[in-house]
Amino acid sequence: MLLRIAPEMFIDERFECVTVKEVHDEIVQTTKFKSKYPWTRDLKNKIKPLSVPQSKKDEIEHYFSTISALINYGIINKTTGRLFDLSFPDRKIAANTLVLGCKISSGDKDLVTFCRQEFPKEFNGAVSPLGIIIHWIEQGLIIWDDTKQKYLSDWSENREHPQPDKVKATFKKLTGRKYEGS
Amino acid sequence: MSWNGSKIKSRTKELGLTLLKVAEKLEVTRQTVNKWIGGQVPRGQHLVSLCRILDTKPDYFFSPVADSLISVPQHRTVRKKRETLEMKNASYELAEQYLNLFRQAPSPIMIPVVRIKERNNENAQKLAEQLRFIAKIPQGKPFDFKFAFKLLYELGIYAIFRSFPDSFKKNIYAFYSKICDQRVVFINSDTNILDLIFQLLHETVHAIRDEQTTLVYDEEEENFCDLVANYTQFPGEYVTNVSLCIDGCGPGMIINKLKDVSSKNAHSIFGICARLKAIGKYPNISIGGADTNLKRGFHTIEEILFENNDPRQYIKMLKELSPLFINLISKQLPDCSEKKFAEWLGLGTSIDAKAVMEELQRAKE
Repeated sequence: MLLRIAPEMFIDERFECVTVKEVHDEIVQTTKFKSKYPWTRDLKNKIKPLSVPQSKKDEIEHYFSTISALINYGIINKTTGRLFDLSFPDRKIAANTLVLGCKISSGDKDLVTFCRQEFPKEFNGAVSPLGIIIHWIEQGLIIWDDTKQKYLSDWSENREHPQPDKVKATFKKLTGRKYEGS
Repeated sequence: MSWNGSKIKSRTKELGLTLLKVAEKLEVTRQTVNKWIGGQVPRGQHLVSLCRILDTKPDYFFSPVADSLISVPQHRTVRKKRETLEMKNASYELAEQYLNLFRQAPSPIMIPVVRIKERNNENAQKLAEQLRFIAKIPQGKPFDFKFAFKLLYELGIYAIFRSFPDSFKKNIYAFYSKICDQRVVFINSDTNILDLIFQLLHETVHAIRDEQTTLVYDEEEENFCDLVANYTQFPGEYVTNVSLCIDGCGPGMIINKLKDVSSKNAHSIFGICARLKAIGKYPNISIGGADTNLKRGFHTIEEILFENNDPRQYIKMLKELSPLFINLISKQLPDCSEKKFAEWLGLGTSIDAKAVMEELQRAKE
């Protein structure tokens, strides 16, 4: 959970992170965040969903309709051979990402593969949470210390999605500490 | 849903464009556009641009009705009014979230279909007897909610629990839908179990009747489903016993006795009163707020499923109430995303999807 490491991530532009209303609602309302991550309670005010101008909203809506039409038609994931089945929040994330030119940070492989397969031109790729931390450190936005390392070790306890090996190696090189999760 | 590529041609002509011009604007070859016209669905990025160039929405190119993968017949609300179009559309959208899940499901099992020409009292009683036999409910016992779910299971009908959208959550406790030839009953998880029994039986009858060629509202069919549901829930023997129990009592005592018997057998007072009235007993009986008071002692489906917010308990309960559905989604593990998994189960804010997924995976192993 990046928010604990950089509470300003959604309100300070320098962190280059945005989230959508659906994810905001999930963090604020669901049991997972209330019971598993009780600290989110104190950081509620720091989670501001993305605000976009009307012109962009129309475009996002257009992408959202296209994505929904394709999913309901039954597009096959060429990697797995199964049908793509994105949830409502994931369709919103995809639409926003494609219109705003962001990268996605998600453990959901289907979402990333869908964007890559169907929108290769617009999609800017995915970035792992640990990759974002590295970027912040490199930009001088955060200083890595024992507290942050402790927060990071909670990721493995909560069985967060695995981080890429290459990124884990860069993290060790940069901070002198090991990422303990998978 | 099917792709209707020929519309590219007609729309292009309508706008006074040429296919070559469209291809140029999209930065693809004319052959690529021809493939789309011939039936190949464009990639998302091309579809977005194509819609812009041809000034249309993506749905324009897809025909939802042609192959009828999803049907949601227009039924009625709890107050016996016809569903509004808004409610019907919202029901369809809810069913649509399960389209790809059922597309990848095993072929539907043989489900009995009841074809009754005359929708009369005698046939309703006969059908009710058959349903009670299928559910293996002891003779003379009224249906409780667990038997109602058992009946769905025995008939191969999927039960899906969701918190219904605001547009119809107060008006509909459950509705029947057919998705990829699979019969599905969606249940509003905010519903009290006493309210749910009759509605589940009503939707079960819809599911096995399945002889409507159109999806329009049929008042006679609704009344017939009600009649069968009534006979199924309250067998004649039980109604006679209740009648004997309250015979000769004053109005206050009647309500008290009905409350006792309803509480003991886990059904609504309203339901048994309706059956008593149907046999000409106590036509002027008024139950006032007795049913509301009685329901306070019973849970909603959500309260039963999410008791203690314990994933293990949740899976256990779901296996008991909806074994077909839980089997179906357990087959999707571990490939489905957490968000989609949470959507299928309507987990909302109650319980952590990841913990439920892990629990289900453990149960599978």
